[in-house]
Amino acid sequence: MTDRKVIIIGGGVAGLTAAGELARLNVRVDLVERSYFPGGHAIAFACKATDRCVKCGACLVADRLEKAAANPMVRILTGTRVRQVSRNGRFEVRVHQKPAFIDPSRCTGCGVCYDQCPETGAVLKGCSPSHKPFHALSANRCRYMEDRSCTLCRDACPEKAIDLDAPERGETISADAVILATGFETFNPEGKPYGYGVFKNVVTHLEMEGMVSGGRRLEKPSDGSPVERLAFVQCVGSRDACHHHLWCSRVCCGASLRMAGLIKNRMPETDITVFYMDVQNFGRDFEPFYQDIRKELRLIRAIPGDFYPAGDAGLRVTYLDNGTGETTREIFDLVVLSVGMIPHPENDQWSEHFGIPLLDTCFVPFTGHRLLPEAPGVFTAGAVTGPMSIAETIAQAEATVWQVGRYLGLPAGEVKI
Amino acid sequence: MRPTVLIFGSRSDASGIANDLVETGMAVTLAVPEEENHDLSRNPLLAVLPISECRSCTGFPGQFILQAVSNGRVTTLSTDFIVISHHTLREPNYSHYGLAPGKQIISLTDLQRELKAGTPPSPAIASAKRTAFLVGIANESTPEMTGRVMACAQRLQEEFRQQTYVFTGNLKVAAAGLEARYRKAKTAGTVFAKFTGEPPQIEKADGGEVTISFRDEVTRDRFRLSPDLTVIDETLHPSPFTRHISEVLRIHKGPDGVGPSDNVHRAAVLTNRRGIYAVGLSGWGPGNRDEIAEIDSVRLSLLKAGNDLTADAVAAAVIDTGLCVRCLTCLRICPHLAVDLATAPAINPRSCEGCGICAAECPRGAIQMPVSSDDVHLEPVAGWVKTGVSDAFTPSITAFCCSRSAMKAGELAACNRSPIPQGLRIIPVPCGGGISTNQIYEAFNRGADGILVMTCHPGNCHSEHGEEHLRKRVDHVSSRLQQMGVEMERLAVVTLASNMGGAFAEAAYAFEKQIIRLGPSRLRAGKQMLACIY
Repeated sequence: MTDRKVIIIGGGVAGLTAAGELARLNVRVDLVERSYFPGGHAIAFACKATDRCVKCGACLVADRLEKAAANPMVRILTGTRVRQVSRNGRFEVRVHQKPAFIDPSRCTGCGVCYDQCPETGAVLKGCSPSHKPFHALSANRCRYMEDRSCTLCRDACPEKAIDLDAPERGETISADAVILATGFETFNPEGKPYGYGVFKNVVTHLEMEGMVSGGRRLEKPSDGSPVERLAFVQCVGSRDACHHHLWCSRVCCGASLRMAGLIKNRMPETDITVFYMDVQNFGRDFEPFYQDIRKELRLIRAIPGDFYPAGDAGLRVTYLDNGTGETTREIFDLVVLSVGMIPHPENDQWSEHFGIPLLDTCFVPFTGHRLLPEAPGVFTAGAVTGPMSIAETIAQAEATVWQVGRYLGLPAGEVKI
Repeated sequence: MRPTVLIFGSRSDASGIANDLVETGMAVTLAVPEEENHDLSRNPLLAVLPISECRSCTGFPGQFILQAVSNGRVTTLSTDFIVISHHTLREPNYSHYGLAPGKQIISLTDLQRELKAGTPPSPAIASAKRTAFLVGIANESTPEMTGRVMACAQRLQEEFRQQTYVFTGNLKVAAAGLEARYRKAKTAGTVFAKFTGEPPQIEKADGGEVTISFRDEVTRDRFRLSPDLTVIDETLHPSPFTRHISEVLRIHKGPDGVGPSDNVHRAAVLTNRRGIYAVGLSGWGPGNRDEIAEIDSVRLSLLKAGNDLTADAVAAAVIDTGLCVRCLTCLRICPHLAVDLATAPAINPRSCEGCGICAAECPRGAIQMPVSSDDVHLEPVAGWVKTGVSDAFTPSITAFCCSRSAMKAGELAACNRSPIPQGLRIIPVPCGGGISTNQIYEAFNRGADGILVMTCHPGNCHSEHGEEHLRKRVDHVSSRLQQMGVEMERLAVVTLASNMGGAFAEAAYAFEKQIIRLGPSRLRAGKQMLACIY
């Protein structure tokens, strides 16, 4: 078994779970991640626990990352993109890696580089200490990359882990099977009349996760003052025929209602309104959770109208409440848009690279149900196959590992007792 | 030797996974409820055993022993692994709408049965002109229900030229393809009416005719509809059989009363007992199962479990038989049912998850963890930024941290350069529930001015109830502190998740401030000792 190797494309929950599980079966894994840090969207999600766990699953992401990163059978290549795929028995995947400029074997994650850097955004921070380096240098912000004028981080690093001249590198990875776990993209709400990108106090749900993660208090992005009137707008770019997004993103109702519970728990004085189309189920305790939380919030079945600026960076909106039939005008301090999960535009490219057909929705078919006859050896897992929760992604990734094992001729039935 | 798997489930739900496991090369026994009509299996590797009751389940992965009643006789079964395949029952919600079943009022399952290909449906269905579906008005429905309603509505609409109406509360479309089907059904002519405030009035005349009066929430117009056929939705319940099995197998229960619990760390198919897996409930509950993913996930788990059985024993707790007085506290408290009473009480390493709850609870101190927390060097995490304390007094703070949550949060705080109290020392523990009263006393005796116990949020503990055990002990120690005239505020519990680096730093910082206010502990330097009692 040890001579078998799998390349996993995408280092989110699905890719990391698959990597950890394959490694436990003694299969070598090269995991290719586009960004500098593995973990995908979900690694930045906030724990939504109030006085108890509400089963959002955010804590599972770092856990799967730790398992993958700690296993010597797994090699995680960050800042890496797939350039070319050819197949001659095995898969030959040409990848290109941008340097992070920090030697992972030396970096202790102490953060001296981050503190020393005079340029905002030039030293990036990761989300989990399980992945080294915890920091990375962004070439397009770094002064050294621009004109070699600054070497503060390199000079200050106590471990001498920073190499500002680290080159970009290419590599060809040979693998017996491929797992495509490139995840989803979020809908860009700039085209919607909610003022995203225009008003500072209109944010996406993903941005909201970052704003409260780690236990932080919620504040207005415009001036850091507390949020008194908070609104969530559901289904932004999901269930949207105008964009041909004929799917429900499935996780947003749970995310918003749990988030609302978290805010109410941390800042009970916040008034929270949720604009929704249909509240979707999440978790096994959905009904009692929903009945409890709706007492603390205002749930309004309406798609709100345009958002306009109102004094003090407030946002004015008018909506027709379907429940009462009345038109209401209101002002909010912060508006959170539950942007939908949409197929990544690169799915087309994956379809071409690996010869896999896309679904009508432009997501990629899940190979657990039926192996793709067009592309033997190519497997898929996670939100690249459609919107799903963290828990479902883990189940899919585990199932995919089983299928990969079978494909590799992993000794089925030789479970020795 | 072929590994053996015992599957508990209904024939309809579980034969899929049974066949899949047989195909994997396992010898499978499928235990089904006795009342189920059963044929003998032709597959020599798949035995079907109708049982009326399961009486007990002892043992460990690779050697479970069960007693079940089959055909009135008690049978002993031995198996390497166990899989619970959840079965759900559908109960029509007639009473929710003040209706009773009749010719013109049927349940969704009945309608599906009538519409089954091959047989013509009853005249009441075939001749209906207008059919109304009542779905999730009185309670919350499920995407599974939506899918079935839309499939039926589409057939009635297209094949039987009926006008169909769907009356609903929240239309559940959170499953692959449902939104697209909803749009298609609307285009095909099905009328959807959703209710938020004022539910529809449903009346039944003596002749059995149903009248639905409602106000359309979009147009605000009032309507009255007398459908020829009214289809009632259903509520899904776990079957009594799976309820019974999860009870006897002592699997921690979820909010719906069946095991496994909805603890996120059980994703996707694990239970609190190693070697026992569950399919059918992960993530979304009944009606949302992604069966294929779960089954493959079980197959992967079984493969790994098989590997684990051959691998060396994990870091498990060890009972010192010389000290043990067989009080069986460990047997009662172990969340993973890892205590073996075969000869002398012993911990089975195949079942033990190393939480240390037994060691903390053992009244004789007879249980040792492989890495005893007493030996842990009290070292801060590398790279921590310490707050400068202007005060002359730098309190010595000992933080017991669950290595799964708080320890990780602490490491994250270090990476994020969050300031941490100068005198904070960390003792990682495998589970908050594994912190004994003696460890807390000992830390005070060794000079801690304050003790912070940091563990997982309730409901997130890997060992399910670790946090509750911890609270109980902390309360006990607090009352002792009070009796001795020591401020109870010197001992505090904080719950957090592994990704809450900021919260870790804040909690530690706030605690330091509290201890600075209290000043040095009287228990410091052995002036007064807290007794360690075994």
